[in-house]
Amino acid sequence: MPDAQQVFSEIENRIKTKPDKAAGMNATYQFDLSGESWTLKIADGAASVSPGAAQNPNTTLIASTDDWMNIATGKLNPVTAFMQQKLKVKGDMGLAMKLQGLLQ
Amino acid sequence: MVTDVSVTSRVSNEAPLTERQWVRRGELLAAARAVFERDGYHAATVSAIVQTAGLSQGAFYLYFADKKAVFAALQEEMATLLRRRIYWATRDEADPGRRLEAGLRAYFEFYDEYREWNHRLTIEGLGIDDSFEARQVQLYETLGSAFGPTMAELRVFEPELAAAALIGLAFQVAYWHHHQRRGQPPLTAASLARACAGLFLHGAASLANPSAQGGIHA
Repeated sequence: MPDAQQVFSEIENRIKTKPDKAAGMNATYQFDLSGESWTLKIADGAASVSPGAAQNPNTTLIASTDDWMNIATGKLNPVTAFMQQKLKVKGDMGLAMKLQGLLQ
Repeated sequence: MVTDVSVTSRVSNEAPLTERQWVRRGELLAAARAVFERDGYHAATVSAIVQTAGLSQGAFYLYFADKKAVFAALQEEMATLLRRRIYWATRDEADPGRRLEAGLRAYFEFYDEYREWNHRLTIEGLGIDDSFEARQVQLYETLGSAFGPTMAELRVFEPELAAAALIGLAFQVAYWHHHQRRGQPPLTAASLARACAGLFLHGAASLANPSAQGGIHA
């Protein structure tokens, strides 16, 4: 099972290697997991990931670390997780839905 | 070495969904899967799907043109989950043999979790029309390409053929396990993966001894 850092690094790498996935996007995501926060910034399609909370996130995703890892690694459908309240979203929901494409 | 089973993001001309629409669509997909698994594709109806979802017929047609469209959406969604699982199960495994086994294990775990869906897709879904078979072929090609580097590391002379054989082996064993081998205790995904990896890497002799490393009861 990978850890959260590996998953976020993977998202960053995927956007770098396949920039069409985030073309034209400008967004700051904050991930509040169990006892840790991560920030994913996408500026003009370029991504950077850092540990810790963001200053002004457009979208905050809240989940347990286990549930987030299950979503990221294909063991839990993100829509199902949202419906089951395992994943909560604050802020711009449209950006949260775009994240689904970035995970593929 | 990474088993990259990602796909280029599909270009969508559809308007972005609102939160409510995203959840509604998810509810309809979940309900459709339950109905397809219970009734089969041909006996399933849009009425049964909306009844299961607790939504109106009108809501269904906002998201899907017909029963075939929702089945296709489920096929895409399941393929995405499977690709993602295999990717993450194999990406950090340096040894090609263990990587191959890890990928097989992820596949058997997926098949086990979604056994009824996989059964319906196999016996009914692929015969609906050519587009369903094409999507499945695309998935197998993606998985086959992903295992190509592993086959090369294993010094397989024809990596593409070998990857196709591996996928065929895994698919048939999963089908046998869930739908032919009735009345016997289930085998674990780990034991099936170990047995298939043993078969693939060392031949049928790896299964000769039930307690051998590659045996399904080991």
